Amino acid sequence: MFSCADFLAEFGDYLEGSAKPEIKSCIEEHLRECRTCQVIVDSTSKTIRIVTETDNFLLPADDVEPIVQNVMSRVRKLK
Amino acid sequence: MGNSKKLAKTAALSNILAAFGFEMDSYTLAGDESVKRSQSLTVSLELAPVLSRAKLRLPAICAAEDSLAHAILNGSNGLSLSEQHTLLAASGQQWPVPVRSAANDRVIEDPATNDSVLGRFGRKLARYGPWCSKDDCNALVASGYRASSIVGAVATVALGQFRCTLASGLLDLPGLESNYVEAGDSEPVPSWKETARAFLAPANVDVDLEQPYATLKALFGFIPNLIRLQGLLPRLVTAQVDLLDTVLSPEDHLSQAQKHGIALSVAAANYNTYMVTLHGEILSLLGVDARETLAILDNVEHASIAEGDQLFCRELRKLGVLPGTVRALLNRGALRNAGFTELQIGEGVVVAALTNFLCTIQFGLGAVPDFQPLRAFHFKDLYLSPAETRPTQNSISPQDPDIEQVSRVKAGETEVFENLVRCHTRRIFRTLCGMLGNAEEARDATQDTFLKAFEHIDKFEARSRFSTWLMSIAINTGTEMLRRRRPIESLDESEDEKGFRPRQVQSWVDDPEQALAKSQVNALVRKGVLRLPEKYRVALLLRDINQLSTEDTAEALGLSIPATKARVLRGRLMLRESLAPHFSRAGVDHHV
Repeated sequence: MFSCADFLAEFGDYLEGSAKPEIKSCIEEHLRECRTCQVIVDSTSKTIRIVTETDNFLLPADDVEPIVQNVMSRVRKLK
Repeated sequence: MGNSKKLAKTAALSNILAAFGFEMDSYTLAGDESVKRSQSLTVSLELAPVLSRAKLRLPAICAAEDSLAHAILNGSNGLSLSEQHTLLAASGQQWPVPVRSAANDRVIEDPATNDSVLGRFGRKLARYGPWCSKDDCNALVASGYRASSIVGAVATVALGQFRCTLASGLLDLPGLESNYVEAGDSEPVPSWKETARAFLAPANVDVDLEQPYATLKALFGFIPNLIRLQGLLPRLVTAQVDLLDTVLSPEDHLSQAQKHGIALSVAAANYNTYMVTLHGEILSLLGVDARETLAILDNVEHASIAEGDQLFCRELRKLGVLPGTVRALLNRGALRNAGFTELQIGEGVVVAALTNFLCTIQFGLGAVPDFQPLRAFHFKDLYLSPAETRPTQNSISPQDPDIEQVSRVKAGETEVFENLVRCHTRRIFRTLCGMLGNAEEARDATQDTFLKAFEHIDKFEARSRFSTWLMSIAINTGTEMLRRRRPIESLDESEDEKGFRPRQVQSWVDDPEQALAKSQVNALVRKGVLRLPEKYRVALLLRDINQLSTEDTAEALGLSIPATKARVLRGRLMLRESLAPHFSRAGVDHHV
């Protein structure tokens, strides 16, 4: 039977869907009993979803070409 | 024409026709010039649909495919056989069909059509469909093409895409690698123009169109603008609607929701706002929740559909027509292992082919969406991220897709470096902006990254992919800038990755994205990411924000896979801590 510490050590692969079957079944067995770890799985999954869908740190499309041209102008000087 | 040239042309033409399902048994070059267009395609050319060649047991679809080809190539749109071949060859050049070089030979031999406005139009539509604009139609009009011929030209290229999709998905074609990998890169990316209205006026309702329009109303509940725009060619509309009905209506093998889910995925792979909106609307009519549709659109792993259906959508996205230098092969074995029958796979490929056909028609005619767009793609989306253009599994080319360009830069072709910069700028910037938290500094760091890459490109030994090597330079550049700003922990600093314990253990609301405005969610994520210790922040930026694979993240960070996984998990858990007060049930109640 997994403890919460075992669960925390192993649940990264579980979140990614890549946990080995025997680990997955241990995690699911633990989750059936542990409300706290259920919350952690649920909220971490939602965190991943939120962060992967964020628009943060994007370069506006119009800004691509000026960077490309600046780099190329500096590259040509290096030749 | 001399005999040798004539023979070469005949052989090349034979290859082109074979790629599109035509047989050359009773066909000669003399026939090319003398045969009457309308009946020749059925009688002399012995049209053999790709589906029949694939021995797919879907007779109704085979017949509908045949009818569509006849409706497009029967000559009623005013295009000559030679012009039709030029347009079909334009499609063929973009696909891993085993005729590409022969098609090129033939095209080069026939400057009268290839170097014409029509030839250029066909190549742009086939390779850079999303970039087509009214100017392209105007150029054809200025060259004397009537509206019906333009519709016919667009449909001919679309037919080429349709048949190439079928061939790629269903036939075990030999020699794909050598035929496709370098396809079409000789032409520069055209400039982008926004589409505000259709390029051609829709035809007035013709009595010939009553039946297909009635079928469409029964099928979709409305008549798509895309179909109305083709009303100048009633036979084309009739055949197309018949094919739509034959492919999409029956539920013998795949359900309608599965088919429209596949179509949505392929349309998204093509960045086609119109088709995404169309299939989103139909899925809504079929009772599929809008959030579910968006999940299929953005990341099918987040959709609550069965794992097999997720795999199906992922695999068939590979058949999209999006420009790119490497095209992934459909993994029919994986689909069979997931329990799909040959007929289901075949039907899925037909749906993908039909979607590519309709996307190409839309790109060529500029139909505007029938409903509020579900997702409006913009040209910014077409500065493709490496993940979108460079499938790492089942790829035709096992090589780094950038390797050829890198070799040319190494050999002194400095200008080729520009393509590499353009391709990777957004991802490099995003990582650096997340590291530095400042867009201006990130711009400078992005430029520095590329300059360093150029200066040291001789040291790149292709042990990793170029994109990964570039990312590791970016991380080093960002780290140096942070160190100049303030003393900071080392990325290599060893720390007990397991020492972290979650503290916030209140349950979250079901749908946190709906709990706050998107701008608020973005601001919270930004603040949370920027507050993470650097090593976790970088791992999270690579894995979750830039969505690199675990393996690529590990390579860029110079870490083992287990260490990378631990670092990413720790970053996620720490970010979760900072978001929890805002998304826990108590927190949201407090906000309300």
